[in-house]
Parts: sequence; C-alpha cells; structure tokens
Amino acid sequence: MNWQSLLRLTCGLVITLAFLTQAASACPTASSTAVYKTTGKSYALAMETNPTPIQVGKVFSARLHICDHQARPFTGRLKAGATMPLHKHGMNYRPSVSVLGDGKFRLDGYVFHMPGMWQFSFDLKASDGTERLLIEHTLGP
Amino acid sequence: MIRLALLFACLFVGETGFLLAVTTSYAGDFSETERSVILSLGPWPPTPIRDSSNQASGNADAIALGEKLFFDRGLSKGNLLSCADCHQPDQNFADTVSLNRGHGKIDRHTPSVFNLRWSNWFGWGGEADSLWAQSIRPVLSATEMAATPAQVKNLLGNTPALACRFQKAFGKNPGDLTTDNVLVLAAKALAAFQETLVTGQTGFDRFRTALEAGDAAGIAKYPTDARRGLKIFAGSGRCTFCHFGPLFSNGEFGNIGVSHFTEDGRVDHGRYGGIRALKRSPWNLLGKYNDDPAKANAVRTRHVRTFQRNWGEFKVPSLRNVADTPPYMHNGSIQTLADVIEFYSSLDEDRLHTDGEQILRPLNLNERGKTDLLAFLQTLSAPVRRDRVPTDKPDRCPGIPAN
Repeated sequence: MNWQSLLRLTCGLVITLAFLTQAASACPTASSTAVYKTTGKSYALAMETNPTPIQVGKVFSARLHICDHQARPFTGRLKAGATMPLHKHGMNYRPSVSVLGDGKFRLDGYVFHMPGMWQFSFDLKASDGTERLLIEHTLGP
Repeated sequence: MIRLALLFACLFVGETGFLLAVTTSYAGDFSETERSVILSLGPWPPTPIRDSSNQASGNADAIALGEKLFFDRGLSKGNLLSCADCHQPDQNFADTVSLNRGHGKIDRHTPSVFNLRWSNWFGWGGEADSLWAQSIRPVLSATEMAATPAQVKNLLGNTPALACRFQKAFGKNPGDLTTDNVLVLAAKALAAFQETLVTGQTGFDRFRTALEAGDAAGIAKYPTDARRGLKIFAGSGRCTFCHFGPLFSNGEFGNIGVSHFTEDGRVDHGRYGGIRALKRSPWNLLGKYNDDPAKANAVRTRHVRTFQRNWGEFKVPSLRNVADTPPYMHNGSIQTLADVIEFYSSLDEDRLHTDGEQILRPLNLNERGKTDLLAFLQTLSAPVRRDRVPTDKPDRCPGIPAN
C-alpha cells in the first residue's frame, strides 16, 4: 500500500467516523432517557412531555426525537394526534407541529380530557412512504 | 379486682378492635382505584388563579364595579333586565325555569355562575374562551339583554357612581375610550366579580378529606347511602370520565343523547356552533383584547378544531350544588335530579347519535341504587360565598358608602 492509498483510507475512515459520530449525537433515540419510546419498521421515536406527568384536562406539549434505524434524523413531514381507542374518540384539539431540526419536533396543544387509555399517533411521511408510530399511555385519575 | 381489670382490658381491646373494624369497613367500601378517583375529586377549592387575559382579575375596585354592573338593568335594552334577573343570587345564581325569556325566547337553560374562575370554556357550546368574553355575549344578544356597545358606554360614562368606579378600576375615564374598549372593560369587571363567587366546603369534601387522612371518625360521619352512591359514581357508573376533578366536570363537551332541536324545531349546533362562534369572535383570546401580550393563555383556542362529533355536544356541567339547581340539561328538559338519574339509568343507546359518547351505557340501577346516587349528589351542595379581595383604599365614589 503506497502512501496515497494509505492517506485515502485514513481520510475515508476519519470522514466515516465523523459522520457516524455526528449522526449518533444528533439522534440518540436508542439511548434517550425519555419516558416514551417506540420503534417501527423504519423509524424510532423518543418523546418527552411538558409538564410531566400528563394530567387530565391540562394542556401539555411534547418534544419528539425521530431517527431511522441508521440513526439518521427524520426529515419528512410529521402529523400527530391522539385517541382513546376504547371510547372511539380523539382529542378536541389538534396539536401543532414545529420542526426544530436534526429529527426533533415540538408539538403544542395536547389536552387529554378523560382518564383512561390514550394512544398517541405519529404519521411520518417521507419520500418512500408513510409510517405510523403509536405510543400508549394510561392516564390515571 | 384482677377479674375486673381483665374485664376492662377485654372491653378496651374489644372497643379498639371494633373501631379498627369500622375503619377497615369504611375504607374497604372502595377499591384502590375507586379511592384514587374519589381523592381526585378534591381538594376543594382549588388554588385561585388570576386570569392573565383580564387586567381586572383580582382587582378590588374592578370587582366592586362588576358587582354594581351585575345588578344594573341599565345594561339592557329599555333598562328591563340585569344579569341577576336570570342569575339570581338566591337561586344559586341560576333560575328555576327550563328556558327563560329575555327580550326574546332563549333556547338554552340558564347555568349557574359560581366556580367559573376554574373553567376554560364558557356557555353550553363553549362560545367563549374567557369569562369576560362570555360576559359580553348576553349583554348584546338580541334574545337576552339586547343592549348595544354604545348603550354600555353611555351607562358607564354618564352614571357618576359607575364612572368613578371605572376610573378607580382602570385609571381611565370611560368617555376617553372607544366604545368597544369600554364594553370590554365593563365585561372584564363583570368577570372579576363573578370570579369571587365560589361554593363552600360540602359534606362530600369533608368525607374526602377524612378518607385521605384515614380519619375514621370523619369517614363515619358521611351518610351510608351517600357512600354507596359515591361508589356507583366513582366505580361502576363511570361518571368520572366526564364529571372529573374538584369541579366534577372535565370542562369539555359531550353528547348524551339529549335532543338538540329547539322548541320551535331549529337545530342547536352545540359545541360545533360554539367553536365556530369562538373563532369568529373579536373577543377571543387570540385577539387584541387579551391582556397577556404573549397570549400564552390561548393554547386551547389556537388548537381547538371542529369535528363531526361536535354536533349535539354540550358542556359537561359541574355537579357542585347540583341538587339546588334544577331543572337540568342544556335545554332544561329534565325537571328533577331523580329524573336525571332515571335518564342515565335507562339511557336509550339508540337515541345516541352515532358520533355520540361511545362509553355511555345505561346504569340499570335498582331503586336503592337510584336513591343512593341521589343521596351522594345531595352531599355536593354548600352555600355560595364571596371571596373578598381585601383593600385598604377608602371608597369615595358617589352613591357608594365609604368603606
């Protein structure tokens, strides 16, 4: 191996390592300490709410961190909602989505107006299709 | 002597054992889940929170102005009606008829105006997102007080006692402000007064406190039939899905199958119409009259949307003082509380709109269950009291005696 090949290999390794390090630090979904996590076919999602815990009838917001399984941040469109599957109804509000970059999103305008089992839903729309991720949360009295 | 001592000891142990048994029995009336639900129905009252959208909230001078306005028939067309003519203080700030009349026929029952400071939506359809915006609606409604903004400004500007109060509350002369601004500030004073109307501690509240503290004597004071009714309410009846928290209301809206046709055959759009009216209103919290510049209090208004199921939905009313505020439902169509229980006990699921509340099921109560539930609801009553806001400023306005 001549010195040019060695240089090319070294540069390639450095760039790859830098990329992986950046991707991993930008999207630490797997290592997140968030209370809520879910994984789908293509994406993993971590969520934190504010305030936490969620209270019946109180407004709360959520921060999401979404990555694909190669730890690349999700850059597509996000649609969010929540329902009570057993009651067959959703919220009376539609959360708004703010894109924060690096796979991070802020959702405002959640209100769970009844105690019981709620299901967060997140539709992730990317150029290669849409994936729905769900998180269940039982809201106590 | 020893025999006597042993007898006392046995009696003491027996008595203690009996007390323990009573404690266990009373606490054991409820499952852990039911106990959690019961504790979530208090404590009462919640912490008073100042309304950040209303500069008059908690202001003693504004409260005094609001009280004067609440009883002033000058706020209506022809000086015929005041707020207090429908929201009557000696009737729990409500009235006793199904549907009242103002300047025209009113389609909805008069709700009470106590404990409103903890609400997020106002009116049976939630047409307003603040108490002050709600206070404007009946003043201008053609079927209620039918006043005009100009009339409100004229009243406040040309009645010395009111103008003086207005000046003290807001630091401005009504004559120097636009008509709309005087209307909004008058409504904010009305809201500040209504915020002070709070119901007191009830028999249920005392029981809840005792239950939380494990106070056997306090628990034992709560009537047995009410306790059985509470078990239905917090358990099998699943009433707390909607009648949740210290207000006994989740503050939102539900369709329980009560007709949404008015007496003359028109459709009351309920929550659907309420949201549309809210979005159109120049007085909603997204507008310029919100006193919070950041509008952080407008999150619900910003995110509420109309859904198909909103048709036929009406506000879930608080159950505090429910036994004292007949008739019931948004259209006053049920005359007694016993009949309300009968309504829920024999609920006709076929009458529920397909988009109605899916969790509703007939309670199918027997006669004792019905009387127990009634007994529980009767323990939710307490006199309405005024939360006085202390002030050390002497009152020098004309027509109003000095403090």
